[in-house]
Amino acid sequence: MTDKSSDLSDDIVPEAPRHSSFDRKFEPWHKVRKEFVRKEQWNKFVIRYVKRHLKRELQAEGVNEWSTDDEMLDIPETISVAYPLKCLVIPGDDILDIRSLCRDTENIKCYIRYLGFNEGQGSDRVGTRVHIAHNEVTSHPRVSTHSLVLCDRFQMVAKPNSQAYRYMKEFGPFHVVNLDLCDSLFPTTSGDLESYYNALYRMSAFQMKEMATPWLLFITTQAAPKEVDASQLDMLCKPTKDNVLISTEFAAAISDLVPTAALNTGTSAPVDCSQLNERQLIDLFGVAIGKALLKFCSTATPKWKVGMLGSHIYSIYEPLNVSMLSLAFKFSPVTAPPQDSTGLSSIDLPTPTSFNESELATKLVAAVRNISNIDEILAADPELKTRLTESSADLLKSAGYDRNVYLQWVKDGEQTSLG
Amino acid sequence: MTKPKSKAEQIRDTSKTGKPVNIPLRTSQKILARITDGIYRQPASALRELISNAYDADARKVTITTDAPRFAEISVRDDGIGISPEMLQYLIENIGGSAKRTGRGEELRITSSADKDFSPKGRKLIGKMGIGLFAVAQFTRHFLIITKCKGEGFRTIADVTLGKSDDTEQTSSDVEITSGEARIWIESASNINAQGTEVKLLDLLPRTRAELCSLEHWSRIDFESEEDGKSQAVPPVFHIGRMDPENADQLLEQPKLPWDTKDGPKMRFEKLVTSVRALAGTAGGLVDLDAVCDNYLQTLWNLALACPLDYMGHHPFDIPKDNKTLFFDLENKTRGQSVELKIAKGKTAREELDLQSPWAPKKDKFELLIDGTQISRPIVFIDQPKTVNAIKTPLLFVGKCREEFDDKLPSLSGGPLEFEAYLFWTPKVLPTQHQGVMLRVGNAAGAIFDRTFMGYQISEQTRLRQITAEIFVHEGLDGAINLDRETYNFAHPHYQFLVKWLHSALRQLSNRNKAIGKEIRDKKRGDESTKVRKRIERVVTKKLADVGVDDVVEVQFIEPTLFESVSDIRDEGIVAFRKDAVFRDNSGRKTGASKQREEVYEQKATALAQLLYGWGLLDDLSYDDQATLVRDILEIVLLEDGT
Repeated sequence: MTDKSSDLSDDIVPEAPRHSSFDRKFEPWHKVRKEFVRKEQWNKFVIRYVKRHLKRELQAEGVNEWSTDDEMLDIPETISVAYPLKCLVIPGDDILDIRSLCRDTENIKCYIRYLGFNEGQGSDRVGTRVHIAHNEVTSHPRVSTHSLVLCDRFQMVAKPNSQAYRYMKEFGPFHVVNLDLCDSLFPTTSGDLESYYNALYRMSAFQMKEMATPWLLFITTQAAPKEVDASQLDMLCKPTKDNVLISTEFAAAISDLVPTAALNTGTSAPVDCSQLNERQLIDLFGVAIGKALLKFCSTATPKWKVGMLGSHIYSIYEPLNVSMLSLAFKFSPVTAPPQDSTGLSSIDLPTPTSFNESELATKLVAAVRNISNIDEILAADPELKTRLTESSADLLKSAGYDRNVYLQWVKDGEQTSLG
Repeated sequence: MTKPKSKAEQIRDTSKTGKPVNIPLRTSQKILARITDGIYRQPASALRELISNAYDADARKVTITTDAPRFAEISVRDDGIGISPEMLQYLIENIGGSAKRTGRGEELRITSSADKDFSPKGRKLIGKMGIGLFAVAQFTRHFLIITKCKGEGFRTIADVTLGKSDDTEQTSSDVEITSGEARIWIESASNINAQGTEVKLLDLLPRTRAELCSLEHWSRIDFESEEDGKSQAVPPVFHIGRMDPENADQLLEQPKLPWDTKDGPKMRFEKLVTSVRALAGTAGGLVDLDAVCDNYLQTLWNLALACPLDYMGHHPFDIPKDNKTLFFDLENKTRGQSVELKIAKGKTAREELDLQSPWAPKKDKFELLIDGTQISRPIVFIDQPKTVNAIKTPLLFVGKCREEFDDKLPSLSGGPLEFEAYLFWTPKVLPTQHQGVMLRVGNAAGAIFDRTFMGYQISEQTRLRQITAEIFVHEGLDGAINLDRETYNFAHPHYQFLVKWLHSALRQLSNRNKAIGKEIRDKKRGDESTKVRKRIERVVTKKLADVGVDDVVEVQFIEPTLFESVSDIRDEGIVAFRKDAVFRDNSGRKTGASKQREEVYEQKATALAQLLYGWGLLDDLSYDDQATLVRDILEIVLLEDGT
């Protein structure tokens, strides 16, 4: 008989398998405002992107850097894009983001392939839901069965020897990266996890190395003071503070958003968050992320530029009044034709526009100023809210939820276990 | 009184009730013991069963997705006809009792209405035991089946757990036991036209994971490295990488694959096959798949061999004539002889012999993708590697046979047996795992190549290592296949017939191979002999010309048995000698080499006689003395050669 400390029986007898239950309950991301984000932000910009960059007729004579994917995915002729829209997502258990993208791209006949990171995947209840959802979503004729939801955290992408990074390389580069975080990009409690920011940095570096065409980045993050690590926020703000010192236009623009004194520019003192109200903090957060991304771009070779697209804020957990910031960015390679310096050539090529980081940063501030509050929009437009409620109900029905129960839940004030 | 609802009806009602239906898995103890206790030797075998099910369900594409090299989960998904709640109930309640080959198959719409041996779209069915689905017990005790039939507004989900229970029930022949439980429900589906089945294997068993990620091999490397600083074992040339045992999120070894992430799925597998074959140049001539690929890649390879897929290049029956291959038709006799097939340019053996394999419906398509790699049969018939073998061209022996067993009772003979086959001889079979014969029934194989050629006893080890053979059984043999679909009942008449046919075919190949080899070697010797003769002639002509003699006499050595005498021939102006007067008695059996040597002696003797005549040194000697002088000088000359 072996003693209890023996490891001989390890990995021989499996754990007794257990069935998973299949009950559903409503969560914060089932609220109507999230449908606004899906429809009016993510999908709207993706559709615009596909029309501009992926339509089959536009690609007919271009160099197709992923030509083998066509063969691989056997895209039917009925699909209007030359190659699949490749998406990196952090999907919830019902993969609602891809479901809604698929629904909203019906008219443009877009073919979608996705890589998802969901650490909850497995044999438990959550895992079962993800498996069923993945099966349902990839049963759509416009979604590739070569899509995958990996049982890993997105943060692990930060490590080049991680399984997450390996799969990102295998499936990427991506046309759309949607980091729909439940918590903050700079959480106050991250334990020994790799940071989202490191993963964002690693992913962006990969994208800029591998992509030759524009790509979209969506980041949804908590932006309330309590949810954001102050020291990390201060570090994030460094490029913004530096920019204030070197560009009067930028300094002027940002002074309209936040009290400049709070930034403590030119000193080693941290950003003084106590001088900022919640909206100012959110605006600073938005500018700082954008400016940090712009800094990534300007230091990369070849250079990229980044611009902020229409972005939004909304509240979750109402009694706690936690603000979510839903940011959208478009990355574009900076290209320029060769210039004839001798004057011998009679060909008149367009003069390259210079890459001006400060100018782009100033535009960024303007975009942040336009960040809209979804709660206010919906409150002011009941018709829009009704329309979104209906489409959200349909979306959830496709994920196995009871449509009527959902409508009643919305009517009753969208209460979740967390408020 | 209302009739109680069947389980299938209850499953359909789960969308209203919200409560899943629990169905115990019931099977005979004998079957369960064999399934759960590992009738399959490798993970590839269990995956093969699921792929066969997909094929039988008329799937056009099967997609296997793993999270390699972690191997926590595997998904096997097809676009076949799906499983209705009724069929699912039947499956779960009748493990080991397939409906495919019974009247219930048609009723459950899983077999053709015309012939229960065929799928609705006309594929010859592979599965018959009804255990294919539960082959997954090799991998896990917990799996999901997510399935949908075309036209249905819902998908059916079965959450299946396997595990023995004490709930036993005695039946007439066997003990029937509850071997697990399936929890089944339906969910609405937005795409009504979608169809197919996904089997999601969860919580893979540790030993399966260890097998898939080549744990044993990597552990040996680690152990030896720790002990001795350097390991005798080396990592496989190609592998999928390995996870860090200390950190479930990270890889300790990055994948080393012969393809690039941007390569398309077909290109990936082609690169694997090409790269493995190319190692022959660096690995001593042959390639052992075990040594160059990890278990994951070997799983891909073995599935590519076993599944009903297209060949990577040509089907052996479709190799074009303009390729450098010699074709032979096999005779269906115990002591048969092959006949060389004179195939017209642009034609194939298939057209010449009206070969039908793989007997698939027209325009049938069946693709298998594993983690983005589309696999196909990796048996290559053209572009064979360079060889020092006398025979440089591959030899393809093809045959077809139908045995009715007319004068035997069908219950004893098993009914008719029909098959087609080929035996491909090439100096190097790459990799070595392709040496042997493979039996395919319904276009699918169970085991990989049988290197014993079904117990061929003739000692021809070298030649047998140069043969890849496949037998495509169209009708019969079903009754001889064992439960694991990898082994056969040797006593079955169909198996016995195939053994006799194959062994006859091997003899025909062997005889033909020997004959061709001899012919080539003889020709080569002949060519060499001509070269030597011409050189000697040039020397003699030049030497005599140097002394002013332009006319070189013709010299002949006459067999003593020849009717004409030496003097008769000399009368024609030819200098003739009896062979036995000049050369030693070599009337015994001559080998090719000794014959060639003799030819050289004769040429040298001829040259010697021509020189002596040119100088006029033989003019005054009798015929016998002339012969003696030539013989003696020749002996001295040849002594230098050690003869």
